[in-house]
Order: sequence, then structure tokens, then C-alpha cells
Amino acid sequence: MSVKYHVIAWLNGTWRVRRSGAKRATSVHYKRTEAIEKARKLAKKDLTGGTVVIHGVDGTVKSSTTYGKRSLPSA
Amino acid sequence: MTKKIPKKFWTSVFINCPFDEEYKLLLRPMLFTLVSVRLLPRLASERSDSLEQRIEKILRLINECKYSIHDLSRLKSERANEFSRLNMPFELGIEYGCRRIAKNHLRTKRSLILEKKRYDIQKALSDLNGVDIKCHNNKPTQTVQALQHWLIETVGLNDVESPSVIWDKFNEFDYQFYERRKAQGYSKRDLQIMPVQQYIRFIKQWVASKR
Repeated sequence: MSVKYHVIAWLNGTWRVRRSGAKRATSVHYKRTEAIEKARKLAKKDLTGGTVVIHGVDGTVKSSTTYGKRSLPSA
Repeated sequence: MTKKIPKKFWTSVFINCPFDEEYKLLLRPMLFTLVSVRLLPRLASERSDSLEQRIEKILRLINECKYSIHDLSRLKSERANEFSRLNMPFELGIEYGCRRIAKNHLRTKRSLILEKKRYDIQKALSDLNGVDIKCHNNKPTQTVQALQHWLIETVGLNDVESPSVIWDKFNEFDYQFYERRKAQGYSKRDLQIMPVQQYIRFIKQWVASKR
């Protein structure tokens, strides 16, 4: 199962990237676009493939994109 | 002989709010917050018996719920020729009268009044001056905050999680709700117009699975 990175609108007006199941945010941003960019980078970097879940200011899911598994270079 | 009070009365919350699409942004996190602390949200839209008078339904709900939430944020019209919504203040009036006149368990009722901007209600409904009102600025996150504070201050719950934790869980719930329903063939539109009772059932299932 791929790792999920949620982009969430926070109570103080900031945007956070949080890995599914983690208690703390991975990063905090003032702009939504910056948070999405960060989440995408993390998802693409993930060896098992990552999913970016973008939430709206109302908490509902606006989109969900899965990035493919990275193939390891052969030895 | 005194009439037995239904057990559900003590945990039921009557939500007196608009039922338009726009308000769902605030309603859904509100429902999630209430269910997550084991309260039972009740709304006029929970049943649609075509032969039941709406006002009768409201009276029954007021009679069956210890708690009530009244959102008066639509008192002010936003556009020219738009009527302000008077159902919510009317139902708040019934709730207030019920609580003041009752001589039984209905005297123990507790309420939360919400407004959009601070002091808006005072301008439109000056009879409520001096009453404690919370504002949400039409933001879902602030609705959760206001509700969480009320649950501690007025309902008297001690084990309520912080607004941040509730909000985080709501986001997580919404993702799983969205994914599972999509797998069951629901479209995005189906999810948007889903009957409120069904939505509450899904929250209950999710909350129970996390305990």
C-alpha cells in the first residue's frame, strides 16, 4: 500500500503536509500551492510509491493522485 | 405517573441550521465532532415523511434533545433582493420558550448559538443581548473550535480532544469515506447530496473502527 501525504488546511490559516498515521506535520506552509508541491516531492521520492491527497478548506478531499513505485537501479 | 425520559434524550443534539449546499462545509465537520464524542446529532432533514408537518417535526426534535445548536449566520442577506432566513431564529425561540416554561427534564436543556461575525446577532436580534454567542466566520475549522469549546464549557465533557486533533481526524475520515464510497460506485455528486442520516452512519462506523 502506498504512503499517503495529506495536504490539510490548518486552523491558523496555514497549510500542512502530513503523512498518514503520523501525529505531527511533516511541513507547514503559508501557501496551499507550496504545500502541494512539497507533498508531491515527498510522494515521488517514496520508494513504494506515494499518494498525494489534497483537502479543501472544508476538510473534504478535492483530489488524490498516486505516483508510481520507483524501480531500483539494478546492481 | 411521570413519563419515562427516553435514554437518548441525554445525548441527543438538535441542529438548527440551513440545509443548503454551501452550509454543508460547516455541517459535516460539526456532525463529525459530535459523533466523535458519542453525541447523537438530530436534524429536521433526518426523516422525510411527506405527510409530516415540518413544524411538528421540529417540536418533536426539541422535545427529544437535551442539547441544541442554532446557527443564525444567515440572518443577514448577502445579495440584493435576497431574503434573510428566519427559520433558525424562529426555532431558537421555540427552544428558549420550551426551556423556560418546562417544569420537567426539559429545563436541563443546553444550547449553543453560532453567528458568522461577532455582534451580527446583536444588530438583528437585540433580544439576545447579553447571551453568550460563538462565531465561526463561515470557516469549518472555526466551527470545530467553537463546538469543541462548547462541549467542554457547557456540555461538561472532560475527554474532548483538541480542535486540531478533531480537525485532523475529520480530514482522515473524509479521505477514507471518499475512497471507500468511490470503490462502491458512488460518484462525487452522490457523495455531496448524500442523505445526512447515511453520512452520520458512516461517521459512526469510522469512529467505532478507530476506538
